[in-house]
Amino acid sequence: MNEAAIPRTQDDAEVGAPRSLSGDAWHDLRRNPVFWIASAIVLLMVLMAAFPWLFSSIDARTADCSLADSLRRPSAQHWFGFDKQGCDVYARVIYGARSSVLVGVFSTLIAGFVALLIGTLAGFYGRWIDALLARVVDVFLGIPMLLGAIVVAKALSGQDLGIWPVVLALGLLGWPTPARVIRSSVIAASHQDYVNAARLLGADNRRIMLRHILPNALAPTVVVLTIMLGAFIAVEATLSFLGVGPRNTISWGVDIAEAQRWIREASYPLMFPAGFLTATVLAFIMLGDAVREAFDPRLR
Amino acid sequence: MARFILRRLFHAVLTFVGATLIVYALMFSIASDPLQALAGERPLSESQRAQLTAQYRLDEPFLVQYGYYMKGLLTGDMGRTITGRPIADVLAEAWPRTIRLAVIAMGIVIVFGVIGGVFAGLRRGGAFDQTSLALTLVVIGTPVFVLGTVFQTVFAVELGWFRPSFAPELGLATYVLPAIVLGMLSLATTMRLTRTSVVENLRADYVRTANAKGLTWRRVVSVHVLRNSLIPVLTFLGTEFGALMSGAMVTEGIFNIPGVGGRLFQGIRLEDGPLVVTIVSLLILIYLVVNLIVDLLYAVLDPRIRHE
Repeated sequence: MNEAAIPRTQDDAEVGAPRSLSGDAWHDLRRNPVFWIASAIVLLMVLMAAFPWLFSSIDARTADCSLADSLRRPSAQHWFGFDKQGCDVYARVIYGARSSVLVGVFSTLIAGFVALLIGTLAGFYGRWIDALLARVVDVFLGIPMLLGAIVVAKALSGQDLGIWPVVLALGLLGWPTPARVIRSSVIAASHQDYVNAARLLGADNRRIMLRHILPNALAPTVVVLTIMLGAFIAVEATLSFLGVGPRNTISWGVDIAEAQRWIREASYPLMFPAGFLTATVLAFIMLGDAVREAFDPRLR
Repeated sequence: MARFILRRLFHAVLTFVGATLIVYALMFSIASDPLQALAGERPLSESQRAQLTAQYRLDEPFLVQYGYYMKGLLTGDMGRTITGRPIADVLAEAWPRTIRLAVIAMGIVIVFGVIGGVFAGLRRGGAFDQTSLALTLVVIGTPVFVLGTVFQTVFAVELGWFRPSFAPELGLATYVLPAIVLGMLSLATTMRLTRTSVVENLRADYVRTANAKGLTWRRVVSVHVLRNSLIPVLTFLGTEFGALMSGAMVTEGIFNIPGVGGRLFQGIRLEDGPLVVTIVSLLILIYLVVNLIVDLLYAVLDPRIRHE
């Protein structure tokens, strides 16, 4: 860092003082435009999911669509035009964010919790526990995510459970990858000198795990879970597209599937939800990537 | 090496049994009354019920039923679809189409993914590298069904370069657009992986040595860098072939290709339990066999793996 010698702003003046790894990472992140763009899209999608009425005066859940408007072109009042049923595409796209975001968040929470439990146990205790859990991880990795999710979602689709069958399916099939990441960072952290020092000072397993090992496994876990959140949203939309997604909710995947049938007549009912879906998935992947880069000392 | 192979085989069998057991248990739990489903609207008498229960071994414990099912699956007796057609016939007709689609997709991935990745890696930070990094990220973030429907709209419906759905009279040409869609995600990942691998190897000590010996740039790249860079790419491509088979479901569904994936797509829509569970189990089997081969191949190519 050559410019560091000439302190210009308050920020540059701090360079001389040693920073922690997370301080370093934050310093890098703040300068990364990708991080800001991705965060802005994520924030926007979360706002859309929580308060859709802020964005659209038409409530897509109760709107009465008139077939007279079927496939009408976009106009100043109706930016994205109308779909085959004569519903306003803009309102449906806004109200479709909720099921995607909720499925993404809840399945990531489930997958993250299972991964943390299994990854830490396998990494910390090692030996036969590790060998046994490795086989369990293999079994779950052997089921391709989409195929497994179809079967689980279908198995639970008898009752009207809203988004939960899909959440459960994604959570239960998604944990092996983050579990492997957590396991390897726990193993790496537990060979550090400060862990030996803590043990010599008489700290018990629980304290070592919570105070010394898990904080070090946190960054890679957050990265892999952020990227998984994006992947979960993509799979949820794919399931809706295939007709096994959440029922009775407005969803981008269902709208894309519906629009595909009338594609020869009008393409915008397909392009708008597809664009929003891609932007959301991409935002989570870019966010994860940016954080990973910031925390990876090899790239400095 | 023999011990390594044996251990990997053992693990693969365990994984297969575990994974199919989970899928089977879930499908088993869906069907509330399979006999009534079989009979449709007609009422079933007690004696018919008893006879069918014995015929389909529904009175046996769950694990025994699973055993019979697996025995049938591995010996080619896969049961019938809900409309009564033998599943083996359906699959025999569908496989060649899916294999053609997957092979063409794989060809596209290898040609464009590997060559593009090498090119980007050799000129790291250049215009091509920057553009391809951004484009591949967009592709990775786009779900396959979005890519499929958008490509179908743009290139087939609007521009008219391809047919929007399967046209057997066109021969292999009809597979091109679906294969591009199917291979796109693998292409992007392969390109990024190849690029990273080339960039890392360019910094390796043996490249510095080769340069110091006075070898030409061309020789350093083609003999030293490429050979070492392509080992991880090769194994990745192997596992991707299995993934392409299952990704074919969405692509074949969109383009109406009556391959294995297209049948699975229909099976889900028509709630055809036996067909879905059979195809899913077979896809898992293929995925595991391919992974096993790739693992063994990796051990042959990279001696560090087998001496762990």
